[in-house]
Amino acid sequence: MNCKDFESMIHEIVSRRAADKTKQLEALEHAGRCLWCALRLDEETKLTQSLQAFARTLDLQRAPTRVEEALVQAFREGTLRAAGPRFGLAAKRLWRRLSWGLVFAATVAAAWIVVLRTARVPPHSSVPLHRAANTAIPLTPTPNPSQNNATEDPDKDLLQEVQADLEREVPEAVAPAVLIAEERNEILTNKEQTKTTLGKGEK
Amino acid sequence: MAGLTEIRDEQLLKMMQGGDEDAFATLYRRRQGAIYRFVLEMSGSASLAEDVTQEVFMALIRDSRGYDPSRGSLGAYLLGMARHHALRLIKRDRTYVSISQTWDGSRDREDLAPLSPENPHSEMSRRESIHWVQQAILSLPEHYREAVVLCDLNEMSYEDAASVLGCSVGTVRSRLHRGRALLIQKLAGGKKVEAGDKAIDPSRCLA
Repeated sequence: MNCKDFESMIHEIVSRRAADKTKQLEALEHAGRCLWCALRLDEETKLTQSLQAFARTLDLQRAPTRVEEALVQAFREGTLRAAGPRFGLAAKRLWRRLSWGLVFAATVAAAWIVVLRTARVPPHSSVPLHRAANTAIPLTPTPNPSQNNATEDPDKDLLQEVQADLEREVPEAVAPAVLIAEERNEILTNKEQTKTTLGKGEK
Repeated sequence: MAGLTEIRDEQLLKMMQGGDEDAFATLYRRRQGAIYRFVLEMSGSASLAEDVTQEVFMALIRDSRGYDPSRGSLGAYLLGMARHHALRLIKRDRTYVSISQTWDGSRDREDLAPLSPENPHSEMSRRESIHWVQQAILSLPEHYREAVVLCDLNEMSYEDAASVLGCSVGTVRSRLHRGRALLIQKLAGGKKVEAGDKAIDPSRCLA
């Protein structure tokens, strides 16, 4: 064994941790021959003794009793809290299921109310066409029966009004139709004139 | 309760997880001393040691399933947590580890036995020596200090210390070696060199 090997295992020697007893004996033999290693061994032994003396002064040191009391209290509360969420979780699940059920019931009820209300109103297809025409909004304001001695048939009234309109000036609403008719007549007259001209020319 | 003291830590932990208050109390009484002393030796502060001990067991109450038996003993796991908390608090308040600060162990020193009437001088000398050792330990860098505290003061094996520190056995050995060398230097500088003594230079031994 040399000084380097001795130095590497000096802590095991002084703390009696060396697993290999043969090596420990070799190290001690080396210290017997080497002055420097003997001094190192002495130095390390003294340090170990000082550290052990210091450690002994703290041997009986413990955390105060209040720490244990606080921790036991915390443990008790923690156990209760840990038990708490199990009930809370079940209640939450139940509430979630109930709320979904309530939402579903409300939806069904709302749909049922809508169906009932729509069923009371008769569909448009069941109304006869002539009745529908009667209920249509008139183009002109309906004359007040108290002010005017209008006939009872509204169709007749409407027809009379249209005729009156036509007798007056051509209203803007029918102007395009009238213009088309006028143009047609003009074209026809032009055609006839052309024909007569051509007939005269042949002759 | 008498039966609980014979049950292994892991079994107590399982019982504790099941809500057994006595199992928790037994586990606490079994392990709190080592944790408290470790933090006291690391920080020199009794109040910090108390806080850390409480934090470690509070953490165990909150999440005891964080312990993995395949990675080491429960004692090492708790000390690892204590180390983590202690280093965090020490970094937050560096004054705890200053060499110029007086040891926050006034209560500890009062607890010491009174001076022996037969040889009060040697008793005083012993106390002074212990005081210097305390100061020298507190002045070590943290990673050397924790190796010295675990392996020398608490006589923990290298393997367990490595588990607590989260490093390899080789790292523990080298840190311990370096930490002890620093302690020797500090103690030699702190005390009067007696006649005939001289500081040893380890490098000469390696030549």
